[in-house]
Amino acid sequence: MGTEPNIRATSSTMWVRTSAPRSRTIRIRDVQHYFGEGEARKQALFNNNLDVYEGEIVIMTGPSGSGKTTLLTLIGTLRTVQEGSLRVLGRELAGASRDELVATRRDIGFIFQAHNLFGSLTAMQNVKMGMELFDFSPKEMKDRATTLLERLDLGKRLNYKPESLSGGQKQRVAIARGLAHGPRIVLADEPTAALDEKTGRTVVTLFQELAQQQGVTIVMVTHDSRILDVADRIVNMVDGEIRSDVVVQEAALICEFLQKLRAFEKLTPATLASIADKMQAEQHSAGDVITRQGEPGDKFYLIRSGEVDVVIDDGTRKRLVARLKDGDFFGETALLTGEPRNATITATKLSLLYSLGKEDFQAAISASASLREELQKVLFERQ
Amino acid sequence: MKTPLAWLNLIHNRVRTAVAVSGVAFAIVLMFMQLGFLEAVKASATLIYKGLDFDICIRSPDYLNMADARTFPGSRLLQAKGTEGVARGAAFQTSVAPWRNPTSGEKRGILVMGIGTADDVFLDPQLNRTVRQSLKAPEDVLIDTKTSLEFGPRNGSWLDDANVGLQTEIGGSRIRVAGHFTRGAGLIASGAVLINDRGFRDVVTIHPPEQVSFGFLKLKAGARPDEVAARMRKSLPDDVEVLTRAETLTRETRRWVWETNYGLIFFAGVVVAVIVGTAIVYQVLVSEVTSLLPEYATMRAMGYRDRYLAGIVLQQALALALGGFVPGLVLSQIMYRITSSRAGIPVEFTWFNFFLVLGLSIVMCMVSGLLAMRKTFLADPADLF
Repeated sequence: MGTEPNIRATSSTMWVRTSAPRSRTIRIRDVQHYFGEGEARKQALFNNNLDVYEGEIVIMTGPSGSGKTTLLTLIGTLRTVQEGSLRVLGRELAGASRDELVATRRDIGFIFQAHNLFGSLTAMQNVKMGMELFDFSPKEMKDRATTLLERLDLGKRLNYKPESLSGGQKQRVAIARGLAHGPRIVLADEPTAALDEKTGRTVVTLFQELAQQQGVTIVMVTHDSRILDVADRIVNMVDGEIRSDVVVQEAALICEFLQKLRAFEKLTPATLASIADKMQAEQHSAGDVITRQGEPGDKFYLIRSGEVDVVIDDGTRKRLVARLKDGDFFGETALLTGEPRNATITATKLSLLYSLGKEDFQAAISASASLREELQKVLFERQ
Repeated sequence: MKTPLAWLNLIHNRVRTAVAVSGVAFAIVLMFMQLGFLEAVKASATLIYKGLDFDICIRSPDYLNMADARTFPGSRLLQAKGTEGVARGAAFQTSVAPWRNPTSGEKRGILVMGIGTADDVFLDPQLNRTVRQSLKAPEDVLIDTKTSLEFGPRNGSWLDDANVGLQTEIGGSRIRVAGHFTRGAGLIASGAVLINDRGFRDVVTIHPPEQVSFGFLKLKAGARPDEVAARMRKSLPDDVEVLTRAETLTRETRRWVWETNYGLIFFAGVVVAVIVGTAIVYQVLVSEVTSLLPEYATMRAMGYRDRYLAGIVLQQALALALGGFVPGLVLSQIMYRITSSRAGIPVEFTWFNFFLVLGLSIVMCMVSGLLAMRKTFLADPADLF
């Protein structure tokens, strides 16, 4: 588990990467974090594991106090790693020297919720402050700053000081400042909070371009549901733990597959998504037996990719009854009826499967039932 | 070119910067004034000596100051004159005696200087001429034009020729103003008169006969004052003190600056000015840093190092020091003029004090800067998210 470069594990869920392997920019292993000393010491992060790859846009969600900002500050080297391992751009942050931390920090672009622009500097100068630590020529600095500010619709405000800019404009200057030096990782805290729909969209589109064209990793804490669509992954944190880490496209795909199952067809997309959340990835080599006829059923399976043979032994001979491929599922009958497995299923080549445990499966079925009852009750009461 | 953040911050927060610059300027004016006064004390202390033409001074070992010079036997002056290398010598008497204001009759202490009219004891040849011509009779006096108005001049000024012929009393003896001279009595008295040696004995009766206050000796060309003084010390008994001109001036300065409270008072003034200046600049810098903490924290998150942030504060401190120095200097020069003309004290600008004050104001701002700089360490980027 986790040894293959294209498989990653988190505390709650395991998802398979289907795209080509990319280099890992953030690797978090068993990170714990505490605030306070002695008696007042309180644990804020519990066993966090997370991997983020270049070119990925990760949105972190969760109630306030769930630890997402703490995790963000740890990634950003703004807090000291207390327990566990945190590698950013190949550098271990736990126990790193001040100089190493500063070096890492310079590869990161920070976008804070409060813009924190220098009141004494113009938009242009504020953006340049983000570049002066690096070897840009004055012309390059000017060009980069101008391009970014124009891109963020501030072309006419280059020489304005913050006091003559609106909240949204200031926020965009701060975004330009965070991106100007060409960071490999961008850590953003509610970057679109002060922006209207249109400018917020401009900002996230810029993020997407950076991610897709330059492989910039973007980790963003946001409650802005308007921009959730740009996320490649959504990491949900509750009480200092990563509860789910969902590859958005994969989740959508799985939901589509799940909907084909008659037992699930009445479920709402939200319920389907929560089922998808609970599925675990499994990898099987050719010849692996996945279920054996006669054994009790404990899981429901969905084939993400690969191929399996369904063989029934009727006592006299083995009969190949079906060959299942991508998007097919199996194992639900034993769970629905409570009877033992009615067939032996074997992988014929390297296959990736998503499985759902018996209890989760049955909970989903009863959710399906209770939803119906609930709906009827509401409709009845309305009359 | 890097963005001159320190400078732009100062320009941006005009009011705060103006407060700081005024504070620095205030401290600088204070320093210049205190040092100026000290300079005035030094100048006043040696004012009379500097006007006299002598290479070696002999006086009583109990000498305190011009007003309380004590006396020694006049015969010592004769002995001193006989020393090898001495060209000529003159007796000089000083004392403070009560002058009667001719209008109100009030009595005030005035410095009386008794001289031999033929001795040419002054450096100023014009004054020597005036002395020879005007101080013929024992009751004739030349009055210092810097004498305070409390002594009762006619027409409100001692410069006025209308005062010539004015009659009054010193020490109960009748005197007559025969003319003017200009010198200033320094710190000893608010007024001074010159009188011939006979007249001096009339107005100052406490001086024993045959005793004098000073003997001023002029050396032959080529004679070295320290060698002649050494010879004189050997030959004269220890009821007189022998000093070269340089020694006389240094002793007088040291006496007034360090053996009185003047030096201490003015130095304390300078110290207070430095402390006040430091406190003002510190306050301004701290409020600046505190108000910019999130911005500094952001810079730290960007990868700026501690020393860069500290550098900004120190640059601002230096800029305030220099920014306050210029108006402080100009203002103190104006104050010097006013003090000199109104109080009659020669408050003068010296380059030594210029560099001393410049140095002190830089030190002052740097100390504030270093103290305020520590606040930048409070800028914690972890608080920004």
